[in-house]
Amino acid sequence: NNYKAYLKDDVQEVELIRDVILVAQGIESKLMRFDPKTESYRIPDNVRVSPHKKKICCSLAESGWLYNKIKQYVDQKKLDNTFGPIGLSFCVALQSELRSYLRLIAVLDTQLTEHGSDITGGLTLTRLALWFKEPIKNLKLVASLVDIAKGKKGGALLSIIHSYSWHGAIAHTSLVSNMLSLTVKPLFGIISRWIYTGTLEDPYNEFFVASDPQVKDDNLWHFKYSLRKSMIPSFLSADMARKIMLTGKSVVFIHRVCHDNTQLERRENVERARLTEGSAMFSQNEEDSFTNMIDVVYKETSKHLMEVLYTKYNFINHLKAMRRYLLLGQGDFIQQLMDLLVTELSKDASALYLHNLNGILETAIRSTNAQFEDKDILSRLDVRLLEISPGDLGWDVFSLDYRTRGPISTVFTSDTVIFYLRIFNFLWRAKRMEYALANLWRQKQQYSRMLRGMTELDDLLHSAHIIASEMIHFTQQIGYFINFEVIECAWDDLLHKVNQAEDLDHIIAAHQQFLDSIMTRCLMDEEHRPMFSQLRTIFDLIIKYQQILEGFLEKASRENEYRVEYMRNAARRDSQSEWATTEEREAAEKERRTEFIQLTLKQTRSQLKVLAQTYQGMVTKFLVMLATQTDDKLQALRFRLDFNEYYQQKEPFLASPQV
Amino acid sequence: GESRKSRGVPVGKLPEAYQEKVVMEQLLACLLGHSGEIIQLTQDADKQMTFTLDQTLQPSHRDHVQRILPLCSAYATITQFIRDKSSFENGLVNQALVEGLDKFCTKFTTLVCQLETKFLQGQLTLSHLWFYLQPTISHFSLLESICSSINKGNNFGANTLSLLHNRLKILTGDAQCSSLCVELGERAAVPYLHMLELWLYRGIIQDPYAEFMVSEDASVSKERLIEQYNDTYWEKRYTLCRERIPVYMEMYSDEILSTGKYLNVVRLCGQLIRHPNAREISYNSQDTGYRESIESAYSYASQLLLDLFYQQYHLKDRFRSFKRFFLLDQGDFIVQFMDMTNEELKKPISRISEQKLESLLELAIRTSTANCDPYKDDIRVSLLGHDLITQLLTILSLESTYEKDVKQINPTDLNLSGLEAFSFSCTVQWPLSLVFNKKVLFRYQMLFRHLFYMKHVERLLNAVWVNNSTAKGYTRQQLHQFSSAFLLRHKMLNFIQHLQYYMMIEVIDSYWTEFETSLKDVSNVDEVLNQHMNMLNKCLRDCMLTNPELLKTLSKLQSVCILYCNFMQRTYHSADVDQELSGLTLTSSLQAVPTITVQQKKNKQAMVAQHVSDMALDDSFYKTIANFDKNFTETLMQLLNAISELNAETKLLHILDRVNYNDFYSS
Repeated sequence: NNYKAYLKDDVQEVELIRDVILVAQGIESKLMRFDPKTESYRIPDNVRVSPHKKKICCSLAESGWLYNKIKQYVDQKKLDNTFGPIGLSFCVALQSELRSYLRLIAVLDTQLTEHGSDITGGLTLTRLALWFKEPIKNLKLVASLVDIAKGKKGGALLSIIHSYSWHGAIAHTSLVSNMLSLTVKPLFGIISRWIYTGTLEDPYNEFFVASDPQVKDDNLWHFKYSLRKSMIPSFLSADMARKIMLTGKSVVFIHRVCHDNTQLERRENVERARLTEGSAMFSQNEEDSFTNMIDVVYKETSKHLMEVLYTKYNFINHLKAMRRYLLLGQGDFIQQLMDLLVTELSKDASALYLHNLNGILETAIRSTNAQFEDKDILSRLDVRLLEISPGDLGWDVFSLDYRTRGPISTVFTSDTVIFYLRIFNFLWRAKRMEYALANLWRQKQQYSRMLRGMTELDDLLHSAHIIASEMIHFTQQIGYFINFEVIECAWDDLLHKVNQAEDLDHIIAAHQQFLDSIMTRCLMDEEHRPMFSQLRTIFDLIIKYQQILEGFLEKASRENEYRVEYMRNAARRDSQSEWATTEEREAAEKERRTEFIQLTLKQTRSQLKVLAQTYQGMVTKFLVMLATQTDDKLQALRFRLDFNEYYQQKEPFLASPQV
Repeated sequence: GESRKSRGVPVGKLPEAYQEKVVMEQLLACLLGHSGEIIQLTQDADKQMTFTLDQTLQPSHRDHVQRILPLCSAYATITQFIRDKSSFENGLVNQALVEGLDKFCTKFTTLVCQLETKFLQGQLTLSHLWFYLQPTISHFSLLESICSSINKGNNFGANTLSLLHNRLKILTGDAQCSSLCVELGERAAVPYLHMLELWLYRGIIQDPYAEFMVSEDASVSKERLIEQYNDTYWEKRYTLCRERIPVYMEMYSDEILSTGKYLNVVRLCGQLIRHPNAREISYNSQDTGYRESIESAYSYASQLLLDLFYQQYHLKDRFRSFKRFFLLDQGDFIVQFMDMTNEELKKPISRISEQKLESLLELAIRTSTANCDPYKDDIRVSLLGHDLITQLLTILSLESTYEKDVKQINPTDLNLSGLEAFSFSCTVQWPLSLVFNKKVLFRYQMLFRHLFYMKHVERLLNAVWVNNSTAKGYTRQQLHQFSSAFLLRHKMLNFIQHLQYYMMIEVIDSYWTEFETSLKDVSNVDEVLNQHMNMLNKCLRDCMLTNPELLKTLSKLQSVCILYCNFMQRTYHSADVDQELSGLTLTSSLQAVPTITVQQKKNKQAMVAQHVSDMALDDSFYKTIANFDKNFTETLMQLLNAISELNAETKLLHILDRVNYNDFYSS
């Protein structure tokens, strides 16, 4: 009896087991009550049960608490309308875990009802503990996933689950990756649809590609789609995410902008690379196959996109046309255009009429090799007047324009066209300097023969000749620099990159780089603004000099004509046996001559002298500015401009090799 | 428990048959780590589990139970260990080990369940229990000791693996225990070996808890390779962590490191790596079986990288290009270059413009046969702000003890002439920048500067010789006056030319040929690096560039020569007819030599001769020449003596044979 009393518990083990099975489903039982303080099920202290049994019961009851926690999460999220398919499939995965757990409980329950407390077949707490060992471990893991998944959805949810897959225990990893492969399915579906057909079905914002419905088709490439950084799953690299976005975007672009309906999906290698299982996205062993799938589709799509651009929309030809007309690549045409426009452009800007200019452009095209150009390209070529500010001459506002429409305007956006116009304006101005100086030189040659008799002009003409040579050297070197060192090099680089390009973004980037490098080296960017205005000042001085000198040469030749006339008259009278000259005539002649020498010559001389000095000062200052540049090419320009170290003697600062 | 105890009777008071049952029931619970009244569980600070027994128990039972109790505490310790070590921060290896232990515990629980059934059927006695538990006892004590030593040593990753492996060594006699240990070792090694496979076959490190033996330092980027003097990238980007190598991998660790390192370079060059015979590596208690996998991976990786270097990046051509420019292999180019830059390089470096040199270099390359070099565009000029000896000391200090000396020397000396400061430089792109790192470039530059300056001295002496050739028109007496000066010039030229021949042919060319032959049978890139460095070091050594004393003496000799040349040229120039002759003095190939009629020439010669002989008659001329002669011979003797005292390992002794071939200096 003593023994019995010693072993006697208040409760039979069978009852305990029954209660534990109940509690394990998250239901409170007679014996075990949920204690919210410790968040666990407990057997009240006044019930006499041997301590080890109590302990086993409590530890088994934990599963009930875990079960409830997971179930609550699932119930709550299933009602949540914003949770989206990825979240939903996570819930489904959780539910399937719960289901297999419930199955175990059902089995145990049957065993309990069939055998009761039967010694051989029945359950004991020890056996129950053994049965529950694995399920509790799994439940714990799943519950911890639920814990960290709170407030996350879509790609972020996947990242969180993936972060749990680093574990040494195989059971752990296989459970997590199992859940992950269930959860990832919708994402895989979204990605597949996106890269194959360009449809973006993501009403719950779970995907890492976001689309802006406000953006119209003509800005599709640049602004419509963006990456949602937080939604990129951790098992996809940033590069992969970029490729995926680009592929889908390319598909949409091909269909909507290029109006091309080739079914890329059907291509053989695309088909072959296609996967059906989403789990390939994160499993390390087959990582290559998903990468491969994305790679193949990406390459194929981008290739097709570029083919369409090249063949149907003549991208390369347009690029070349830009080079030829806006960057003055077509020499004869530009020369002709300038010849025709000189008088027109010297007018005040407000007196220009577009139709006149267009007519001149037409003439220039017809009379040069440009006439053999593709009709489409010529029809896009146009004249454009930049914004007129008071006092502007035609030269300041005139610009060629190239109208870009359709798909190619994705590369030649309105912003980049502005760059082209600005560059054109600069090149045109530099060209004008060469043109003006060449004209000046020609006139000087003509006049100098004519004016040989007027020895009082010798010193002026000589110094003018020297300064003009200096200017010619300067403009020629600038021209050489722009054409060969800047544009030609950048162009070569651009063509190389365009040939190498794998997708449209590469082309856009290469093109932007092309423009940027021209802008920088032609000093047109923000950083070089002072240098650019310095160059403008030098150009203005050259024009001013040219105008004054030409005006003077005209006056001088008129003076010369008077003198010749006077002499001829004198000779004629002489031959007619009259007085060759009279005192009156002589006085008038003398007065005119002195007026010319005292007024015109003297004035011009001082004007030119001042101009020459200013010019040289400006050039020296420009060289000093160049010397502080770090760009090799700009340094080289400095050496070209000052090849014989002429300016270096004037400005000792230039002599020190490194600034 | 309190209420029960007060109502209950001490177990000793119960009848014996009951006592056994009571004890048995509690014991079964204890085996699964639960505490009871008769047997109580306590845990001390070291997480050591002990069970204490109610001493009133009948003695025979007590002894029985006492024998079983260690098993109970072992189980408790192990389960505690499992709870502690399965969390994330314990690393993959410990987690895997825990899973193995857990499997074993489950097995044990099953056994206890079976025993419980027997007990409930009334078929279990303490003796039975003792018998059934026999095989488990030794296992458990092994596992317990493993757990406690891991706890004690806070073992992690490879340390755990080593511990298991070492434990296995002790257990060789005990087949059951050792097979258990092997099983655990296998399980624990799975994540580690998986990382190893990734590294060996793909060059990837996937190591979230820093357990793998190779650690990556992301701050060491390949872009900095060309800026730093040391070869940090190759040495520091991936390093072995000695404490993270399991004992059975120790002997392969270097190969493992190199394999992944090679693959990484290949991967960074944008090539996909598909290992043809990638096999799963699994734990092997006998230390065998790894060798084959690791060696095949290693040879594949090294071959892959070597092929990449040789075929895609044309390493051999690169080497030749370096020799062409830095070791003056292309004669016409270097003469052309020296002609063109002569004027510019004479200036102090503060007044030299690098752009100008750069464009002259380009011109020289394009107008000489060096134009066919495919890598000519990578060659740059550079003006180093310190002379050769300083550079030498810098290098030596980085390797040994000269550090103090360097710090005393002013780092940049702006008064250095361009000739002394000038050197080529070369920008090499990744991945060849691994081979031509700053360390290598420094060595090339030192050799170049040495040879370049020597060439310069020779050219000066030659210019004097050209001037002297006008002496043909001198009278016998005049010639006599000059003979001492001519003799000295000849001595100098002889020395300089022999030295150059020695350096170019006997040292550089022979070592280079050796190096090129050795390239044919290297099997990995490390060997290429070593051979290359070796070759450079040998060249430096035999060109006196590792010995500051010799170098100082040599530079003194060179400066005597230069002073002599300057003196001789001044003598001529002061004759005031130097204008026409100056075209000849530096034999500039770009300037057309003005044609001078024979008569004019004769007149001039006569004038010069007259002037010079006037000067020669002056005592000071003789004295100066004699002074030069004395200086030169003494310094040369000093140099030769110093060389003769060197050990026979270097080729420097050949200089003795060459310069002193007719025993002129030994008499």
